[in-house]
Amino acid sequence: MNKNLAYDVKATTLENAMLALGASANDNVNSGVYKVNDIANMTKAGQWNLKRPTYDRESRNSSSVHDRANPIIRSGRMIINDNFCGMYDFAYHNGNLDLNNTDFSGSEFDSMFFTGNTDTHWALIYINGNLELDYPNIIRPPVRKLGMCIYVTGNLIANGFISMTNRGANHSGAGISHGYTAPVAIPLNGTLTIPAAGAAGGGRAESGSGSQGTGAGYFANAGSAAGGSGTSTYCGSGGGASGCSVVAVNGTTVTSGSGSAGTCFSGGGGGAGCMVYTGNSSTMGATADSRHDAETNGGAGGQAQNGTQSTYGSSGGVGNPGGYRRKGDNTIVGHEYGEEMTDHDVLHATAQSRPYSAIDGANGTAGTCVLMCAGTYSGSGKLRSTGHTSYMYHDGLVGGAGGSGGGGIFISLYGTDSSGPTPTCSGGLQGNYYADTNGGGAGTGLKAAL
Amino acid sequence: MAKYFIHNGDHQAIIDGLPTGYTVLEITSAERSAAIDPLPLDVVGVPCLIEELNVYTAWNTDTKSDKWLCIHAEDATTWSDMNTKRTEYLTLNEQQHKDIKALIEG
Repeated sequence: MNKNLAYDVKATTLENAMLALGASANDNVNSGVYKVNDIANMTKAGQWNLKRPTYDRESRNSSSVHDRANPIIRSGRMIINDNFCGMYDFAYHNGNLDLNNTDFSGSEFDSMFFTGNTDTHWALIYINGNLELDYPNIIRPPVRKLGMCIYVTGNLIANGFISMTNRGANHSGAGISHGYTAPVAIPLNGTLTIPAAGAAGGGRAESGSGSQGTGAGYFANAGSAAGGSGTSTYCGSGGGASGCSVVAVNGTTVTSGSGSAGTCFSGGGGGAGCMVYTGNSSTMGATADSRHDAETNGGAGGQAQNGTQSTYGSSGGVGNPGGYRRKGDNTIVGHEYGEEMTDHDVLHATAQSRPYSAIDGANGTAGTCVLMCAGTYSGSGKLRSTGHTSYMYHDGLVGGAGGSGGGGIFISLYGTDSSGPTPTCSGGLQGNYYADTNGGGAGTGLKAAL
Repeated sequence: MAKYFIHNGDHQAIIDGLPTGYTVLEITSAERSAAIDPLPLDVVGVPCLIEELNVYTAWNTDTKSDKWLCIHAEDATTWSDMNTKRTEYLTLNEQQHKDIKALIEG
């Protein structure tokens, strides 16, 4: 085992951490475990003792001879401003990288840039040269990450997609999380800092007591958006929304589950909804079972399946993982479309077609991405970290929708801006056209000088 | 009645076409936080309109109420796109009201 593969980086800012890692890329370029024949073949092919070469069509990992070096050349702990920010995996590419749309598809980037380390690691990517990303190629981690940072020493032409949508970490250490990482403030470049805590989630929403009582309105609380300049959540993520609560006819009021706040590693998750014919707060909704609330630190969405239903059924909120739907007959179904139409028959869609945002069920929160381009930043691509949209009216749900997730963080820092794209970090959309909004709060999408 | 248009600096064409009455705010500005934070909702994303619309809010009454809403249209490039999204919301609000009444009364 080569001890040099474990490499802790300590710096005052994320920018300085990237520069330190980039400068170390010349050290031990052959780190790893090889057979003698590997070394002989790589030497013959001119691949031995080279820094990670730039990919082209002929030298990708499709050959048994070429390009045996792994692009992930460093892993370790990342300590920024004396705070532990999580583990990292560092991918290094030497020279200009042209991710064109004739030789590459986005799925190939999983092996070029990322490891499968989930929730506990950052994906740090260093391009020692220019980077050109063609439409419709997508750079997006295959699994949830604490964050993604791409440093380009030259120019960046961003015409494709760079995304952390649905890749926010579950860093709660609970449930399906792969480990706990405490949220901390992360200075980016001496000017901008991602705050440890993002915006607040929407609180539980209390219904009326029905058409025979105090009213049959639809109630929900939106997630808060990250604040503007000068506020404590500037550069932060958005909060998740509460679910929607409704008592249609009679009984007591019920409450929907609350959304959770965003963090530096994840947008907030959504609370579970609660729509019933006859309300009973002792067996229904978040008052009866707090698992209707979304968990903190990118954890599980609110779970409607833990409450009794009455006639209509209720849906879970988005999160890692999202909650299930419990139908009016108290059967539980998932929110994925399923491999066949009948796998998860939530309800048949009405006149609306299902939106693509429901892919992957209710699973996923928005993540954190920082792009640093020392040269000229240009292109017309889409840079996003969007909150997951809950199941909607489009899906045949007319009430009891879960809350959507908060938007993430995507900050592009440039040397020179040549009309490069401004990232967008929307919250997930509201689930219905009827209730108070149960949309997630916007996160932070901005571009600024490096 | 206050009305807001929220943008991120990439929506000048929409701003140029805005009808009178909208206050234009950049999403990462302190002014946006000051104006929107007191309202009973928040910004979902940009570009968006934040204003009160007259909509159905309860299945057992056909009387509409004014409600603060965030109409978000990420791909909008013109005021017409934004207005189309707002009209779509109102149409779907009416459609959902009919569906809910049918579900509960049926």
